Amino acid sequence: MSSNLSELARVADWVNAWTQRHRVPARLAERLDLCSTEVVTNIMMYGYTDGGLHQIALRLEQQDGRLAFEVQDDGLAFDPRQVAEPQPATSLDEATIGGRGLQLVRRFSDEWHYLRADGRNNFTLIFHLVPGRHSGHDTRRAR
Amino acid sequence: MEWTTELLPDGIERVILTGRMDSAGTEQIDPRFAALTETRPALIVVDLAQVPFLASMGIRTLLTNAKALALHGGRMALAGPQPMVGTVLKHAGIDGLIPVYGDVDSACAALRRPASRL
Repeated sequence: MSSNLSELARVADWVNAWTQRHRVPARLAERLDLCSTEVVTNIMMYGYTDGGLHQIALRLEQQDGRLAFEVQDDGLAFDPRQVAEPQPATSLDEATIGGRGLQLVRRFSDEWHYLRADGRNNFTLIFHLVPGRHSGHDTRRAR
Repeated sequence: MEWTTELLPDGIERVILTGRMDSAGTEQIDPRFAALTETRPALIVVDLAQVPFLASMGIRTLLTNAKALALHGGRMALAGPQPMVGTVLKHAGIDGLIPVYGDVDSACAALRRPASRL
C-alpha cells in the first residue's frame, strides 16, 4: 500500500476481513483493528520527509496460538519501542493533545518486536490468542 | 463520520456521532466540532453510542475541543461509549480529563451541577 493517509480505510477493511475469515475472537479483532490503524498512521505521518509516495507492506499470520501483524516500511529509522509515553495529566488544561497512538498500541498488544534491516523498519505486533492471557495492563515500557 | 446535534430542553447541546472515529472520520467532523466549541461557552454531551471505533486521532479531536470549550467557560462530557471505546478512553487517560458517563441522562445531570475539581 502507499503511504497516503487515505489508504487507512483499506488497512482497516483488509484487517477486519482477515479477522472475520479466520474467526478471530471479537475482542482481539478490535485490539488488532486499533493497533494496526495506529501503527500505520504513525508511519504515514512521521516516517517520511520527502512528500513522495512510499510503499508500506503489511502481513498478518496466525500460528501456534499467536497472531502476528507485521509492518515493513522504507521510511526514517524509527523504533516505536523507544518512544516515551506522554506524562499523565491531572487536568484538561495541562493535557497534551497528541502522542497517544503508540501508548494505545503498547496497552492493547501483547508483544512488540522491531528490527531495522536493509534500510527498512520491520515492526511486528504479537497478540496471544489464548483467552484471558491479555490482562489489558501495560506489558512493555519504553525507557 | 456523521454529525448530528440536538439542543436539549435545559440548554445542553447533545452531539451525536456515528461511525469510526479515526483520522478520516475526524477530518469530516473537525470543522463542525470546532465551530461549536470555539465560539461560545456551552455545555456539550458527546453521545458515543454509535461510535464503534476510537483511535488516537479521535482522542485528539475530543481533547482539542474540550480544551477550546473550557477556554470559553464551557464543559464537555462523554456519554455511552461502547465497551472497546470505553477501554480506549481509560487506557489513554481521557476519562480523568473529560468525564465519561454510561448514558446521556447521567452526563446531563453531571453537567447541570456546578463544576468542581477532579
